Amino acid sequence: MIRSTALLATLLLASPALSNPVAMPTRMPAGPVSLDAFKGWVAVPVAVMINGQITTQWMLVPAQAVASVAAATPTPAAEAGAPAPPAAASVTATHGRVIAATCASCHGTLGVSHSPIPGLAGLDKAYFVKQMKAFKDGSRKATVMHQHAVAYTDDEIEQMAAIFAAVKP
Amino acid sequence: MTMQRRDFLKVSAAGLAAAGFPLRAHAGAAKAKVVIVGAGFGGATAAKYIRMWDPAIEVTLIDREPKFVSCPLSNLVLAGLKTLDDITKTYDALKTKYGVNVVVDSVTAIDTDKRVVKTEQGSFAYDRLILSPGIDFRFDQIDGYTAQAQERILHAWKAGEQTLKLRQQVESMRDGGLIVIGMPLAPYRCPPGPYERVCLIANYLKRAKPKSKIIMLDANPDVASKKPLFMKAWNTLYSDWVEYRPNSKVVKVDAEGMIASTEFEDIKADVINIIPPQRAGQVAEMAGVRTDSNGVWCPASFVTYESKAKPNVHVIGDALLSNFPKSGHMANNMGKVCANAVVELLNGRQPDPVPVVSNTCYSAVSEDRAIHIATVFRYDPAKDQMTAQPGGGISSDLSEEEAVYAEAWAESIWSDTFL
Repeated sequence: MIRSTALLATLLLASPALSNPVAMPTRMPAGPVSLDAFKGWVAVPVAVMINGQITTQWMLVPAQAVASVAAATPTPAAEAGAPAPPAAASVTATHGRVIAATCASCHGTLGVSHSPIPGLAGLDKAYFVKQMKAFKDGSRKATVMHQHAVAYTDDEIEQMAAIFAAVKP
Repeated sequence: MTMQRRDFLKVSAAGLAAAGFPLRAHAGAAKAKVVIVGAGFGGATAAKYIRMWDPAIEVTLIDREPKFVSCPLSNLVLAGLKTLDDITKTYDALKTKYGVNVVVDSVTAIDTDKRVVKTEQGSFAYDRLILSPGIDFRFDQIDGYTAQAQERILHAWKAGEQTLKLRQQVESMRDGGLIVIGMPLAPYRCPPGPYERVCLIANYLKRAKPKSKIIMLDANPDVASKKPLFMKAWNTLYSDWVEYRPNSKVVKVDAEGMIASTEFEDIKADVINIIPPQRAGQVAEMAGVRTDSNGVWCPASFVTYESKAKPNVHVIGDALLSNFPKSGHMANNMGKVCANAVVELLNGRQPDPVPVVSNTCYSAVSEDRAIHIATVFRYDPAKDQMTAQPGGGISSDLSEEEAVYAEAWAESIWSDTFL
């Protein structure tokens, strides 16, 4: 955190960005973005204290720094009822989050149940997979789940299991 | 984070410009605008899930009603087993928790070239438009079903005021009276709904007006949903109260004389409830997307629900031309597939290429027993269709356990859609 106005001013004035202005986006992206004029650099939000007030500023840092930090930080489990993290970056991921979302009609959004129907949020991944397979082969008796489980592939069941396991109930 | 001092020298001009302004996830102009018309199971779900999956997208949700009244479980209100309040939900959480801009107003025009939705009080520009307008009734298909006749001969097929009015009609009927319930050829909103209504009104008559009767006039050649279970309910619980007639389309009504007519006979009744033939809501016509061969339903992609007639306009719910049952559960599922597709497309990415949606639909047959049907549909890219997967089916019997699940299902889907 930069605590001195003077230091910040010095850094800004020394910045090549001011002498070679780059057209910046008029709205702030929520995460790191790569700028053509700064190849190999990414802009990240940084907490800055100016005159005793904490604000968020954008700073350019080497891309490697962000990558190593990201790798070291495990993704926290989503809060119950909190908005899901920003979007799926692959076909598998986008398919996974939609099919998991269709479970919510009975099991509650993100698997957090608001009814006597069991919740799925926070269920152990292996347990979820085992139950779905048991519904599929009839070894676990059900009124309706066997009719659903049988329609999903093993991969899809693994995806759903991972998604629900990551939600804090 | 740790970094070299020299790295601090590279500071973005935008950082300078933003000095002193706390960064919120969507400060300044939104990434894109989505307008949704229809705040039912389809539209409200789509609104919530777009906001969940990309809060940088601004969502405006327009409906002419200030609150949502659920068609599912409304037959229990007709039977005196629930109140209208029990099945009414507000849009508060969509506003305060998810930041949906909820607008209570009527749509007057849609310009799909300029991408603007006009309402009585306002005007809303969109990048993507989602229509979930439900159904409108084709009263013109039945002789005599004028606006005046509609005051006395109710449909109660959009829950709310008509639910209470029909309940009042049934409650104030004399013991020994006759109720005629007419229903249209499939496809129509909620395949089992009319049969559930017959069960539950019969349940009330059995308790409160045991000399009364119901005649059901079904345009279809046979019970169109959960047939063996509804027949069992009528035969074992309500045989003295229910007469079911297939191949009996209502072609004419006389609201003065209180007569419902098929092609072959006229039936005089104390209460006439007609569920008319239906088509996609008028809003779909305003957008120019009600374009199947009869101008009745809306053809759209099963991957994105984008209309085949108009780009950037998506259609979900009952209004869609499809092999889906027209149910709230399906609309809720379509809302999610559509929300995801819209989010991915607005972010320059690919939507889910093989959507899977499902329907779990409960019907109450009495105050303590219910039945269900469950179907999973998977997209088949080779045939460009949604195929019902093997393994779906109905209950094995009328069930007390399922009556508990039916109630739980409703609480659950209402919370998933509105909370």
